[in-house]
Amino acid sequence: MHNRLPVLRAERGVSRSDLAAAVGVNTQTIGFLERGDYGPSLELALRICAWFDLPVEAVFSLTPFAPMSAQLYPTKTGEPR
Amino acid sequence: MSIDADKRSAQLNRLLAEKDARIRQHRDRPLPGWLASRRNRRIVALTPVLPLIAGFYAGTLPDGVARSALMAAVAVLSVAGILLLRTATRLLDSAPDRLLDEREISERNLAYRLAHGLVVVLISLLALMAIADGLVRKAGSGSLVDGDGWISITITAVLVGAMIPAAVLAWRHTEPLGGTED
Repeated sequence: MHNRLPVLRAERGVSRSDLAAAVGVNTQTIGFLERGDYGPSLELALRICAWFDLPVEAVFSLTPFAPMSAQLYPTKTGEPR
Repeated sequence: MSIDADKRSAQLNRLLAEKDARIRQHRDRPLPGWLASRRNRRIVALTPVLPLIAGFYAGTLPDGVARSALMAAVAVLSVAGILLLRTATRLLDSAPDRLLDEREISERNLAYRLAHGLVVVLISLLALMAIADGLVRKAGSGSLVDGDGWISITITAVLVGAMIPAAVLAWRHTEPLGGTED
């Protein structure tokens, strides 16, 4: 399972421990999630998404996410760089 | 009567909260530097092998001071081993479920499952030794285990069996990159 947790955390200036406390898990578990070593339960995934106020597909994906730069600045043909 | 019950309940809740706070504080501490590497944690995970070998060897010794001394060493090694393993796993094997999150509970459940297999192997080893001892006795050529040796071997098996879940956790334990840093 792929996720955008590191990017979202950096974007919002949230520490791992703050996020962990907000969603009710150990700080280490956020590290495992970010590293892709642990797939969260549906409940935890939904709690994380609710906290970021984003839909699930914006935070978690079964396929790798395209780089943010490619999504923000697509090529002239409209395809990701 | 009701006031007494309320007081007792409040006291119990306070003690429980204090205990949880102590465990949480212990679990939040970073691992000691020498336990930071996976190789060292795996070496620590092999700790139960020492009391196992020493205890089984003690069982084959004749009744006497040597066996008692060796069994005392086995007890000390086992207690030290359990404390060491608990440090290496941040008390994951003994912390109550209410202090763990879903990842930690699933990690512990998996370790218990693996540990169950290892305990079955240990008990099977004991059974094979007992059968072999019985056969040797029947053949009239002495015995594998003298006198109270089986007591030493059984105590060793209990101590080692108690260490196995923590040992499995220590063997499998991984720290996320960057530890608990933000």
